[in-house]
Amino acid sequence: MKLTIENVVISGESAIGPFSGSLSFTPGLNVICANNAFGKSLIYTAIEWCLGLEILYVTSPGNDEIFSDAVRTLINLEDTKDVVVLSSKARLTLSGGPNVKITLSRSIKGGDTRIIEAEFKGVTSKAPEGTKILYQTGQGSLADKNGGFQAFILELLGVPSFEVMTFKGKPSRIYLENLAPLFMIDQLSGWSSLQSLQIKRYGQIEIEAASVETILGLNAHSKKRFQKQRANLSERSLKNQISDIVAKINKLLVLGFGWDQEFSSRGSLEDLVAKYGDFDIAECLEKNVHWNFDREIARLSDAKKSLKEKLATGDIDSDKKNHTAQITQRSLNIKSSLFSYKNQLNTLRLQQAEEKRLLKTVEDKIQSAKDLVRFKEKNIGLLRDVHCPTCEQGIEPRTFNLTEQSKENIETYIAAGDKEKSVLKQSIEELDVEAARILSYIDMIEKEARDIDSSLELLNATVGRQREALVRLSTEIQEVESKIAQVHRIKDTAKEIQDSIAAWKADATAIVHDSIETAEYKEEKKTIKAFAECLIGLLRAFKHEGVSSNDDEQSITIDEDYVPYRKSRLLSSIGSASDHPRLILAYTLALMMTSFNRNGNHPGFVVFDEPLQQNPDAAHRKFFVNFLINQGKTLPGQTIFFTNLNPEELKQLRANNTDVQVFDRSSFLTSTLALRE
Amino acid sequence: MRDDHFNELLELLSHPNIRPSIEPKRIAKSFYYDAIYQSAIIALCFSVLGKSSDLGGKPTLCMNSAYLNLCQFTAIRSDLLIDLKRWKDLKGKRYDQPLDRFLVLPRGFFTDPNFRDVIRYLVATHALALAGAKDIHFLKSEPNNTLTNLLEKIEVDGLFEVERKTLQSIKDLRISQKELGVE
Repeated sequence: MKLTIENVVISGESAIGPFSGSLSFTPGLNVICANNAFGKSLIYTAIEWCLGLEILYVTSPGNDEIFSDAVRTLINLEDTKDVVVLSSKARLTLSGGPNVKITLSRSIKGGDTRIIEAEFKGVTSKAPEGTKILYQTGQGSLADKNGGFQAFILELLGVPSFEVMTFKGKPSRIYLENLAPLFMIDQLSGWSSLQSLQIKRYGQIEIEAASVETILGLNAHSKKRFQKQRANLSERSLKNQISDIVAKINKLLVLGFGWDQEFSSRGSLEDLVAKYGDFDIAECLEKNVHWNFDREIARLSDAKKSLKEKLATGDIDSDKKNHTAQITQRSLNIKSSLFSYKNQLNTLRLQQAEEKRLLKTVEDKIQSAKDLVRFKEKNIGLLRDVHCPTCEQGIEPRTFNLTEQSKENIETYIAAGDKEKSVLKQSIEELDVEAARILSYIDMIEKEARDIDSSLELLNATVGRQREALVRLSTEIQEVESKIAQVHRIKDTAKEIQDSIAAWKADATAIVHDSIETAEYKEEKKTIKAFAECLIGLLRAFKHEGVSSNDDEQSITIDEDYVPYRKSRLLSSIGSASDHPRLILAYTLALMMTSFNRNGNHPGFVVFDEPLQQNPDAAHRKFFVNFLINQGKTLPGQTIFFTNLNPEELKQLRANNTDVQVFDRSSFLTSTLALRE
Repeated sequence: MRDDHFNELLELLSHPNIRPSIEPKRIAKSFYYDAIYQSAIIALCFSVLGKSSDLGGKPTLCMNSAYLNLCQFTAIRSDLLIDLKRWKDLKGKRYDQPLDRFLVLPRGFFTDPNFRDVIRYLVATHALALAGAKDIHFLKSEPNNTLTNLLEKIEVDGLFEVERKTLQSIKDLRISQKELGVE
């Protein structure tokens, strides 16, 4: 439903009696003209207040600080100054067509400011005529379908639930306050840049663009934006996941197989899917180290079986007469290699300690150099005027052979230091991996040494060749069993990693970077083109200096974030400072016009507070007045300007049948009921 | 650098079309010898280790020139502190040596020409004054505020923390002139 503002009333009780002010609007162009202190901005604020838009200026809903003192603390009523305000409230009547009215009332002082009361006429779907419903503002008011103001107003306006992603990775909806900077232009911040009042603290990504898409009804564009945002966020998380998986693969290969080359987890998600999506650990081992889990387990099981058979049948090779000597020799060999690995480990640790010391030194030097740069930045240099301490004659500093370095020189030193630092860090990390590999060898060898020691103990406890042979068999069976268990452990770990790769691949390939443009998407491009054309027309009407008479309809383009460009240059960076408000005026009106023509979701009205207080020169004031005369009546929605025109401008507008409401009295609020003048 | 990197470099340089060139502008010069940096460290040496004294009735902070030389040299190269501590730990033991004969420490600091030049410059700016052959005074009311300004900036911006810590550690070592070998 497109809405128009029908009436705004502010009323209250003061220490000397009731006060109020009322202003009615027509459905089309409304020019409200009054002096600065009249209270135009008070009326503007009351509209925002009744729509729950105070959140654009304050952090907590219901905070009445957006109003001036006149309705909160002290009011000047005719001849009486500083009268205490006891209570006050604002009422906004919106029209949704013939005989359809919605009146929104909200306390400013003396009531619950978080509640907006709605009364309906002709909206049978909402409530019986004359019924009042209380709506809650603030957090949760969109989720609360029955009592939330956001849910109610967006449903009333027929705004579909477009989604945007937040920086936290959770989807969010677009609120009325996200759309408001596109139809409510506040006199101070509203004119500083496009959507300057847009709320950023909700963490919605690309909220400016998403809001424009909502107003223009660009459903397919909005969906595509949301998908892209979700894909980008998921991509980051998936890259972290594969990095963890790759670290596990590296650990398995280094510790299990002494692998000395690491797999990398760098690259785009697409590359990583291509590289690891079908990565098969078993296949990798088969190919590179000719290792196969099942084959290895089968081989070891066969060996175990054969050994057991020998043990059962007594088929013992009694020729190996000196088994004790063999085991002793093996024990010595193992201890020797253990010693060698421990030595290597020790050397590595010493090397690492030395490199860590060097790293600390490099870091200290970089810090000192950075500190020195701060001196150079403050132009602290050598004194040029020095004198000999004995003869007091002037001496040139260069006679001292001093070295003085420039800021750039020192920065080069810092850059070189940074490189050295990263090389050292990498080297320390590599030493870590190497140390882990050696530790795993030591672990394996120590285990083997323990097995051999226990075998030797068994042997020592036995007497006779046959029994010695039996013990040897038992030892061998024990060793094979230990190896089988080890292979099973590695196989389980590999399976676990393989499963996580499969799950990761499923998630990673589910991310669709949808490059297909649907028919709806293509149709919406026409809306954007229409918006650009409408914008250039309005910029011409307001004589924005960034658009020259030679520019054709294609000169203004709108980028994917709906930021206007003139050819390849940002339009907001062209022209004079006072062109900026003209751009905002044209952009806001172009959005409304395009949205109406292309069945978008524009609420139906735009309100501009003080467009002529943004430093326009006399010529541009004239262009503005001409626009009101020539195009004001053709604007599709309700357009409200709160402004102050000079007598000549008023005369011109009236001569051309443009309706202007002029207030000559000093204040909107009076102690008697204000009537429409 | 690993062997394969050396081999790669060797292969590249042995190519007939290769002409190595050196761009001195891109070589990172050490900032150790920057006169302002050295002046700042000298100022810190006096601030941490100087002893209150006077010269011609004016209040000063005083340091033995060889000690100042050592402190400035070590503050700039904080990794030498370990060796200085090692030398101090050997005191009274078999390898106890005066500092100028302790092999691990570089000889440079006793004949550091940069240091000498900076001192000469600071004397010319009336920040420092020489008294006899051994003592250097930092005048608390130096006319150009050369060192005072540097100290103030260091204090306000919290600069040269490593150097300050190193100087504090040197102070804790309590090195005597005899140990310095300059008595």
